[in-house]
Amino acid sequence: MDLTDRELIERTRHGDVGSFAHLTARWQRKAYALAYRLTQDEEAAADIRQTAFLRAYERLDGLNSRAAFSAWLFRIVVNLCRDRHRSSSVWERVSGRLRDMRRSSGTAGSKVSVACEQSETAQRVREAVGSLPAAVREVVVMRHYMSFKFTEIAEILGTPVSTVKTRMASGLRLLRESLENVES
Amino acid sequence: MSGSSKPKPDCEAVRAELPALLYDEVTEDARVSVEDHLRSCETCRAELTAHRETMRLLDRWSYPAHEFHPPVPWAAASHRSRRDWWRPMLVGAAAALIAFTTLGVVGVSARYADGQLTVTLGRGGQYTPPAVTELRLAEHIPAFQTVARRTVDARMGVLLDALEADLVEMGRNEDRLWSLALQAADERRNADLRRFAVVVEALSRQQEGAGQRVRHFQDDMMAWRVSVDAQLAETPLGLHGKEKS
Repeated sequence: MDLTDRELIERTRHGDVGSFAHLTARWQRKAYALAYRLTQDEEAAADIRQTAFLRAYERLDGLNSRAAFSAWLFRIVVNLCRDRHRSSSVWERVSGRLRDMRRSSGTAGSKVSVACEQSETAQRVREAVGSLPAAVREVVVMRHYMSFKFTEIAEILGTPVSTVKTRMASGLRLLRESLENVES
Repeated sequence: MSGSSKPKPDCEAVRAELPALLYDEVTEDARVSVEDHLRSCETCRAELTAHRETMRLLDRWSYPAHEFHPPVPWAAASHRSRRDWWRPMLVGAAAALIAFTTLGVVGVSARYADGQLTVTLGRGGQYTPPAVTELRLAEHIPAFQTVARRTVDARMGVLLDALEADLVEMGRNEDRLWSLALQAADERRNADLRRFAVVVEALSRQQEGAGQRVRHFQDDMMAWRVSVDAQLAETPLGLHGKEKS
């Protein structure tokens, strides 16, 4: 029988690290996907996921017993992505993009990636999403690509639902402008 | 956007609800209200259509999620048997002997008193597990005691080379250290040690290989030596005399 997040957290708090392993296994994919969509960098996303779980582990005692672990974890991921965005220089972002291009041009592990992103439209969409203001991008990524509900996004970001919806509307408008000449 | 009809007073409110409508997250009442407005407002209808087209474009950027999920240590560990599951953590505990000061995130200080070396982790660093405060590693792992003694020797300017050799040997001989850690954890069931090991193992994976870890560890041991020296200078242990002889 699968234990709930809350039960696993309680066991972890009592020293059973195996329970935290289960929590990690349960949420790591989504944490990675969120970080990847926000950073558009595979290595950064992997680092952020790793760091997010470490941070969650260390601060587990501070998690409100009624709060959802997943929302709390995703908030950590979003904050780490923000930190990275703030701290990374233009050169780092450019070099990250070059690294992705180099990787997708040759290595076996990214064949599917090439297939998915080789179209010009996909590339344009990716760039358009990447150029959104961070607060708007977070909402667009979480709603459209991660399928979080607006209420869940509001909980993760700690903002009112109305603000989340407004950001989503703004995001769609900005994307429309960026993708003006792209055929759907 | 056509702009041909002047927005009605509630257009702003309706447009704020359009994403919720598109993602099917409106209440039935809200849906009726919004759709009623849309029937009579060309501008908002155009906005809705434009949003739909944009969403279709967004779908063009897909990515193969399954390609990008290298397992984190805990997740990998969770699929093993209980005994095997322990191993990476114990490995981590042993690796800690070599790596923990190289991580740059775990503050370390040492105190030698009553014949026992106590390693204290954490200077409030963000990666310091709150539950881990003191690990009496030397009590469990003789190799650590040896290093501690060599450290004292080094202070006296006698065996600095031996200290370095020991550290290098520790790096080469990780298997032995792992087994020592395994034994120690099995014997003591030290919960803090286990929790610490998990964190250390995850962090140590961020490092680039044992060689680099050993080099860093050597550097940090030199700094640690100064700390131990300071402790020893304040605490008469009798250890100096033994080592001198």
